[in-house]
Amino acid sequence: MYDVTIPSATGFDVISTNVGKINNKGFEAAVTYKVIDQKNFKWSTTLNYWANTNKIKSLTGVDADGDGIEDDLVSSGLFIGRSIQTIFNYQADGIYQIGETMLPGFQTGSYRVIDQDKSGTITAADRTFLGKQEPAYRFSWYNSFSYKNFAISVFINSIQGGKDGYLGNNTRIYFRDDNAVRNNELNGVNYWSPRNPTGEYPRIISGNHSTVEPNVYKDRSFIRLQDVSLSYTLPAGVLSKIKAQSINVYVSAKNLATWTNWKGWDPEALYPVFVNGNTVNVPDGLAVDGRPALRAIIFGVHINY
Amino acid sequence: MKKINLCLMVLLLLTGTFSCKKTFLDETPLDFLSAKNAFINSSDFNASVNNLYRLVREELYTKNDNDPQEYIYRTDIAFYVPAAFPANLVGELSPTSSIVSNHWKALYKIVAEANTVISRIPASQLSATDQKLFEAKGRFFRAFAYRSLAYIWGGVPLITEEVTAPKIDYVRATRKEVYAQVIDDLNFAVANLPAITSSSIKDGEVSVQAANHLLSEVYIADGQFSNAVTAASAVINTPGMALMTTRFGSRKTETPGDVYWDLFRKGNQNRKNGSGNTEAIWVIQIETDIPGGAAISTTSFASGDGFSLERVHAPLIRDVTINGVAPFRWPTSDYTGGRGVGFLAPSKYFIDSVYTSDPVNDIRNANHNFVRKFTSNNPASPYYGTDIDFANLPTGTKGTSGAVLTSNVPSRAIYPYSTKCTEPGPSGHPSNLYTGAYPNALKGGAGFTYQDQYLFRLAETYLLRAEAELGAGDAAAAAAADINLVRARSNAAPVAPGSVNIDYILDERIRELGVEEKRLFTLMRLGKWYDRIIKCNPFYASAAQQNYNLWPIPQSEIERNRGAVLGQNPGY
Repeated sequence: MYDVTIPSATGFDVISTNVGKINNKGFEAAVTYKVIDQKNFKWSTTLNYWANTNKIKSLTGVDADGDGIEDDLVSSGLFIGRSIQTIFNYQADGIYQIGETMLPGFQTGSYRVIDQDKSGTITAADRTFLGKQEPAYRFSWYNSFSYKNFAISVFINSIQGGKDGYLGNNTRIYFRDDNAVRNNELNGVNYWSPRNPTGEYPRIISGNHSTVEPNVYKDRSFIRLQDVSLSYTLPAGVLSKIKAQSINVYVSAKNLATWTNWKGWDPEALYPVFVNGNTVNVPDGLAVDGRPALRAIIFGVHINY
Repeated sequence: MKKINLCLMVLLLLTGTFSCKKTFLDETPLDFLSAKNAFINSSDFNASVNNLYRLVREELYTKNDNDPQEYIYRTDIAFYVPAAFPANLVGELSPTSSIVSNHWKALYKIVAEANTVISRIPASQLSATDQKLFEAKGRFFRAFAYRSLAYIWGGVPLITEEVTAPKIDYVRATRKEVYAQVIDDLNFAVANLPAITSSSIKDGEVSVQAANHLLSEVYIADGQFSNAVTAASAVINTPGMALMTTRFGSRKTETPGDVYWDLFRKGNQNRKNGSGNTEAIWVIQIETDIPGGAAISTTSFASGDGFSLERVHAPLIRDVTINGVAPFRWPTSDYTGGRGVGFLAPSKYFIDSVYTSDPVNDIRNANHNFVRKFTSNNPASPYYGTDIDFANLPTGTKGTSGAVLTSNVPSRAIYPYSTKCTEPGPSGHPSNLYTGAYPNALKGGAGFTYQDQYLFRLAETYLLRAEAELGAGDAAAAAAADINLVRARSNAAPVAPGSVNIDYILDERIRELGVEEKRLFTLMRLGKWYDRIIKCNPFYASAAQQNYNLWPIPQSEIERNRGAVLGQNPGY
């Protein structure tokens, strides 16, 4: 089932339809190895790897435009031979600087859109395949060490996009209304301005819009130090004095560090937005109401009598 | 035990032998609403017709700050004053622009809903009279939507049946064919809708007169001028319809004020409830703080729909300072404009040129109707109680972000505005919106226009008839007579027949209908968008192109329609 777009002249935007065939291929593996297994010192390591690709084999089975090839569903973003979450859109290439010659319908400080068909104007024909939203692979690495009464575990988690995968829309709104001012966006986001020609995001403007204000997609790949814990079990000699069966003192931490080039909140998190009458989950970019990944540090004592 | 086993055995055998008919599996909705039983009696149909009213109100008035006003921006009368100059029309009117696709979508939604009403009539249990009535209503709304589509895009796909399965191979009909359909629908509506004076009609409902008014306009667009005269005359000659010529309604004793001012005061638009307005033809109903009323007073404007003309059209008077002191307290419910934020400023043409013929006597140019002089209401200012004149600003006047202001140049902080957008005075706005901090102080959540809105008004019918008479070549004398009726009501000097041409009528429409008219429709149906922009609105003139006389078909629509080619308009 997929929400396929239909002409608005019908009074509707999409219809949920059974459409097409898809080919899914995946690979998953987990390896655990006890590197050291002695009485006083143990080290065990576990590696997890996961990769999944999908490819659309057919869609409607119809060749309405008569070019001999089955039609893609361009307006629904579905293309035969590509993955479901392929990104087909305009390609931004930096920002127009003062004095630069611009394509018609663009203005200084807006994204420079690549004129793929070299027609001199930006039209729908200038869209191209920019990549996909699906990740290329993900892996996690779990290590546990114990030495006498001490135990340490470290868990690293990662999702990787590879060459052109795991992309997310990282566009910042660029409408300067009073809320943008109240939310302190002008300070918080690196917008282009005549005084900041190296700004990363387009001029934040009120009113005038360019012919095309493209979404800019960025790699969400990350490596995260997701869980670390350290614990110490009190030796039996101490226990007998205080009449306890076992006492364990520990400290554990979640999400201590994330390494990513993604701009915004947690690269892995999705938040719901309303598009074409449907709620879809999109990556959490530089949104005003986003949430970072929760970082928690827990100290604890575990006593059994 | 044996007996029971035997019984079970027999039952099992029986279930194998008998089977139900295939239709047994068809669900019949008896206790819930579904697409099958949604259109049975007149209250079902009324629910749908009410939704048509809502769709029109939303598209033309209450959707948000911007979309409804796009029928006024980019015309000869107004411009978006905070934006950079010159306007980026190439971008805003490109096939990929959301401005273009939003209106396309909204208007086709009206078509689709109207078609549903019409197509569901034969299978309903409506009486013969009701069948005619609901078909007339459905066809009125369909005509309204198609006329709007045809004005803006030219020929568009013509769909006259409910769409029950996805269809992806629409082709464009010609503009002429669309007009023919609209005229056919409206003639049916004229024959079957109740008259505006009939007791069965409620305020805000469409009537024979509304249909004839629209029919007259579409006949003009289609070049059938004598039919247009006939349709307009049918409205004008309706017993009980007349221009308002004496003061009336909720604030008729107040000064300053006059009959033109009274037309736009709260509670005065509807024919029935109280005010005795005989000029209104189709009034869009806006009710405060009731569900579906499209206006709220209890929370911020941002959290609910309403008609934000006050917000958009009144200047951001807050930002004016003279030698560092603000002469105005903002927001105030007086002639400083309520809680305006200064987006939609009149063009210089609207401000100056249209009133040059009779600037003093024409009451439509009186300061309480078209505010040029703003009385300082801040006791802390040395100017307190005196007028700050847009045409003659004191030296040291600054505006938004400290910009030095020049007299007679519209800026976001100060420009002349029409009081149709607001309701000055201590009880003009809903009582919830006053803070009491100082006289007439408004809350930050103000900004809506709370009055009902004229979509069609008899003064416009006269101007339509004048246009039709001019087109029929019977010209100037008859046309001037109609125009002069409208002018006389506002105490404006009569126009000489020799001076009447289409540009004069367009100017008269500015004077009479100002920010009330959805100007884009008028310019596009006449194919005069480009000419008028060049003539009247320098903000857009340098970016204007001839092909903008029609908007582009949205690129998304062309792409969605993958089974056939939806041709693009020339120049895009």
